[in-house]
Amino acid sequence: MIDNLLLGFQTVFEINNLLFLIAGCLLGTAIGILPGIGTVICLSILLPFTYGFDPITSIILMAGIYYGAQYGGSNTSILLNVPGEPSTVMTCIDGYPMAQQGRASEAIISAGIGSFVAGIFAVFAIAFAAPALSDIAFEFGPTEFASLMLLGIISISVITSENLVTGLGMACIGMLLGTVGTDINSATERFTLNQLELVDGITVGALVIGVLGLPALVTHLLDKNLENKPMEFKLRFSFQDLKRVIPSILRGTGVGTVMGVIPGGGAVMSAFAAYVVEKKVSKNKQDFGKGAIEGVAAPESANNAASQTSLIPLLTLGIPENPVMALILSSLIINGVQPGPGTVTEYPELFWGLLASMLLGNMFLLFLNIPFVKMWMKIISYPKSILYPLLISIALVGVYFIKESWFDVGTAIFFTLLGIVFIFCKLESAPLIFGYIIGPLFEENLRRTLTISDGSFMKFLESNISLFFLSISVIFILWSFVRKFNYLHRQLTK
Amino acid sequence: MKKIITSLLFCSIGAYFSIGAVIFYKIGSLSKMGPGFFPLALGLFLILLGVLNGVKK
Repeated sequence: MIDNLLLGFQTVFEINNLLFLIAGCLLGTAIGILPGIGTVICLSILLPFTYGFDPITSIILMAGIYYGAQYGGSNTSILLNVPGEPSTVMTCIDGYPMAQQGRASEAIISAGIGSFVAGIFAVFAIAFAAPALSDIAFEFGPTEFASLMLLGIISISVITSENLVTGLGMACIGMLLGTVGTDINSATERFTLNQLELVDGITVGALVIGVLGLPALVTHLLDKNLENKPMEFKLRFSFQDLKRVIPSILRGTGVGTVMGVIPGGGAVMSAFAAYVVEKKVSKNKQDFGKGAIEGVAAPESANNAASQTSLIPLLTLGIPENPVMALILSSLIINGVQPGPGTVTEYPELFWGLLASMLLGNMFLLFLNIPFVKMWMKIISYPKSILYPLLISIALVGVYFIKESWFDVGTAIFFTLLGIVFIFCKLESAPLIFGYIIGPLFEENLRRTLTISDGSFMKFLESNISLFFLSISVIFILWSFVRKFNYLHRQLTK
Repeated sequence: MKKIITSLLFCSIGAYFSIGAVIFYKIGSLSKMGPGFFPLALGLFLILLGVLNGVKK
């Protein structure tokens, strides 16, 4: 392992990789702080620019943005009561009351230290889990993959949406949009409206920016809450506070590491789970919601751990488990790496380089966020009447440059209108994006399985691994009926 | 109001893809799926979800 990590550091210290690691951390922190642009939107804008990159450089950059955003997002949640990232929603609940009581500094520092501890721990979790999981993944055939993808679709629908019906509906819309383009099995062009531009399918960037990006930017442009100024505070931290948050940080790290690997999971869900766990086990239950430092430390550790461990399924199974991973996957494929069970052994520089970049990146982010937090918060004070229209134009220009196509710009605008309808109806777009990317893979594996089994679905129950995935899917469905309401969904659409 | 729009949206998108699949593409059978099978199945399922969403209280 030491040898492997040395190889990783060698890779990271190549000047290109190092520069893009730093760029990823800076950009991640910035989009983390800015409400309205999350990782998904940022990566979809960036996607066309990574074409032609070395795959190592592009994954270092994109992963850096994802975990960097977890550091940045907490600052906005704490100082403005507006989540900078969807994954820092839970931090508002106790972070903002802390800031109101003049304890903003403690909140920010415990979030930062929590993120750091979790980030470093997650690197070792990946280093041990990924090679082991790859061995298991070699046994997977189309049946197992199809079941796993079905589990991903169901879990993301249940987790993000208010109820199972609307969540699955959005995932179905995504998968149907995914059928647009050339069918790989029969070379038939499906639903292309006789447009040459649609033969390769709807451009990912145009779809994501349309459905998620532009509606979110427009909503934030019109949001009055953002006119609040960030709270003033002095940086200080006592060892007493540190002692108090260590157990919470460790619990959050554990929850996040596990939640990151679950299909459909990722930073958002893990922060939510960590908060719920923390509220259950903490001795200071009565303080939760009124400024409990544990309620900041645990979810902030969890989201950072999960943002890193969610790379495990991508690098061992080749399956993205949330929209961010889906975008990283498309960048890798375009640059010539098809992740799968062989990734760890076939591309050791990529795997160990990524891990080494995370070790360095987390150190850099800790340094970037705590001492310089006041400087960073100035981004928010820019008049949003300038900032957000600027971002909207950058997004549209980015869409144009994906393929230098005006058709894509039109597509993005069409999906923006659809996205505004979704927001009006309180429909969550994450299952749609996920369905769009996983849909074609799911169709292919489903078709292969049913061809092998001559049309019998029993094949899915005969394989133990597949049966395991299907059982978890059933548990998710049952859970969605039992729960009273989806707390995560309420927090996100508040 | 929101519920009605959601249901209409689901049903119309589902109908668009399933009708399109039936008219233009080969459906095939479970063991030999044509290009129209997956969109048809998903489209019908989406219509079902739209109806369920409209019916439940």
